[in-house]
Amino acid sequence: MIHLEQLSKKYGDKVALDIEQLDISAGERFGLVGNNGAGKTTLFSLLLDLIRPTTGTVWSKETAVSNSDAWKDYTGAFIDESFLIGYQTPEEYFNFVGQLYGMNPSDVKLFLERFTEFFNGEILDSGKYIRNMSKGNKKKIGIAAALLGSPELVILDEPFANLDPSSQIRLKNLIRELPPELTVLISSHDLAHVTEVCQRIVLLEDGKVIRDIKDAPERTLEELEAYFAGEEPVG
Amino acid sequence: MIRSLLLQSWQAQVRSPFWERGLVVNILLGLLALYLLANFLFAGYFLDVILQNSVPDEHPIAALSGIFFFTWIAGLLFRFLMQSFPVIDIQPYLLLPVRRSKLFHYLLFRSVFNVINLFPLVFILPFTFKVVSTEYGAVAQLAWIVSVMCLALFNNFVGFYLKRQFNMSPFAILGAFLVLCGIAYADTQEWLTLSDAFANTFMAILTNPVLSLIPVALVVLAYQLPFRTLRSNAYLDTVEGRKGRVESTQGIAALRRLGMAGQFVQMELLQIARNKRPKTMLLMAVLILFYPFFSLEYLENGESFSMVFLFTLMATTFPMATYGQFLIAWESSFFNMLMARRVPLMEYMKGKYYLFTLFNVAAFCVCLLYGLADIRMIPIVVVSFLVNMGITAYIILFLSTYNSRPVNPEKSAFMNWEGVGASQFLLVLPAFFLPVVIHLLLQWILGWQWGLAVLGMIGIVGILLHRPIMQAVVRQLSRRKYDLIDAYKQEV
Repeated sequence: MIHLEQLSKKYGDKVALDIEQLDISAGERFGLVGNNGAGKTTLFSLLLDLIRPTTGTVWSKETAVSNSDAWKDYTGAFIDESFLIGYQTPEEYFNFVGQLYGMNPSDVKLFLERFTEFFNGEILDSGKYIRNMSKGNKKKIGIAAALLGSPELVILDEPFANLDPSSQIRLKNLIRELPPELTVLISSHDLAHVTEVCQRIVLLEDGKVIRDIKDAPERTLEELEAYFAGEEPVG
Repeated sequence: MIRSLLLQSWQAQVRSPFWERGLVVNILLGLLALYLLANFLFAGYFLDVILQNSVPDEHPIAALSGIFFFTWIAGLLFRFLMQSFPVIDIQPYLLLPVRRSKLFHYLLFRSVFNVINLFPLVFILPFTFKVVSTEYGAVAQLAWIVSVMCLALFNNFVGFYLKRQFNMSPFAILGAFLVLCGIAYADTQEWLTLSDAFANTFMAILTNPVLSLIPVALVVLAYQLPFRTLRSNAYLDTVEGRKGRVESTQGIAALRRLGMAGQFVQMELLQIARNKRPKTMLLMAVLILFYPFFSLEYLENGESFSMVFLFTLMATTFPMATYGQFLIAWESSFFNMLMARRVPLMEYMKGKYYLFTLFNVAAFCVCLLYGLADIRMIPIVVVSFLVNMGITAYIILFLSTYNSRPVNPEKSAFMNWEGVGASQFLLVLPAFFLPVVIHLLLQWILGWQWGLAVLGMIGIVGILLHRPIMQAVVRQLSRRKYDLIDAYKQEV
């Protein structure tokens, strides 16, 4: 699904990201962890062609993302509040995003039904503009909008941050129930959440891939916690 | 206490990202203020001579006192529109052991130190030395100065109150303007002779300086207005939760026919309706539609058609130019989303062109009414429309990709320099003056009809070349995309 090679991003002398090679296959649940400044958001921004790489190319379905807009047809994303239109109500926003993917308002309404529990009655028919909503509710809107338009690839930056405990659990269930062929990329500071929903965890530090843990869900959390505590890895 | 608050607000100013970027604008504004102060001082120095020449039968002091009423009204309106009153982010202080009332006293205290409050003093000071003190003595002079300053402070506090209370909604501004004009009109018609009351009071203060306690008392009363509203609004729930319920729009059916571009037009319309700054800017654009009215006399004298054309073009281009200077920057807060989701850039830019079409058709229809005053206005208005649609609209679309300063459309439009930079001037100059220069040249060589005809033809060619021009605009946007994304990351 995604292939990147010799990808790097430098701001002046500072290296924000430097990855030799990374492949993400279709249907993978991919978790990205790392401390602040490790390069998580930089990587996602490069995948979405929001910044230009210093070297290297991002390939999505064998097409370079900077050369064609084809990837936009099957990619949904929520990075931060710059993905939300503050002066719209949530309904207007969902309808707008839906329209970009050829959905009419009744399609959108049908699509949003599965978020009823996640939204907890605070999003739809709230009578508020998005700009006046809480951070947690904005996040919920962004996550739902990222899934609009039946994407094949979904990129979510810190989806668990700012959510209350019930919403975090609901979000985990929501991600688990997503169709298995959907590729999901998640970054998180919360090791427990990300290891629960992702089979593959990539650990970034100073822009470099330090660990790439695949198919070992039972030991992943332990290993990550040991790493971030500054201990030497076991074995 | 007040000292550390002052220090903190100074730090907030200097450390804001806008300060550095707006440094040139700040320096220019400072120089402008100094220049105006110097002008006032100069005019004030010759005030007695000016008054003697313009109203020779009246004593200069009496004449000046009569004017005070009108300066008071104009001053209040000016403050309501232009003065920015200090605000404080109250939340961090609410938990600290600081008395709330102290915070508000501080805010009001700071509002007094505005350069606007210096103007009356500078204006009046030389006059009081030259005329008042020589005729009535130093005590009367002091009382008089105090009274004039009280008038300024009264306006300061009432302006503070009004601005907070009405939150600068365009309708409140219009309302305040009409009310104040009404009062002034009633006075000139001698229905309500407030100006005489002002004049009599100021004359009485000279002979009886104790009377200057009246304006002082008025200032004390005026102070209570903003102070009380500040104090009663000092709880978080009142600060945040006073907004009423908003309903989602279903969209405008006619726009659906335009496909995705129509959706973008709808988005822009919502953007205008729900944000203070674009709404106010466009409201002012409506006022400018009256501008060509003042140029009709050029037509009567048959002097210069270029002049009339310039006025008409300015009026009809203004809605597009004023909104278009931040065409993309309005969307700076969600520009990432527009670039990362499946937004067809061609439809996106077409939406903006259709919005301009809407503005232009509206301006065209209003300006056609000038044809009632002079039939020759009709070809001028038609050509202005063609020039706007076929030349200016594209120039604005193209240049808007160079405005790489984020803009917060929720803020007030007056004295707001956010997002203003050299690119705005570059944008406005060709938009306004290029067609006029062309017309002037053609009028000079061939005659005014030919000037209009050639410009109209260029406009029509521009409209016919819509597709290739829009493609060039979209290519330009794709090129500028990364720079814009990077620039809009800055906090506004």
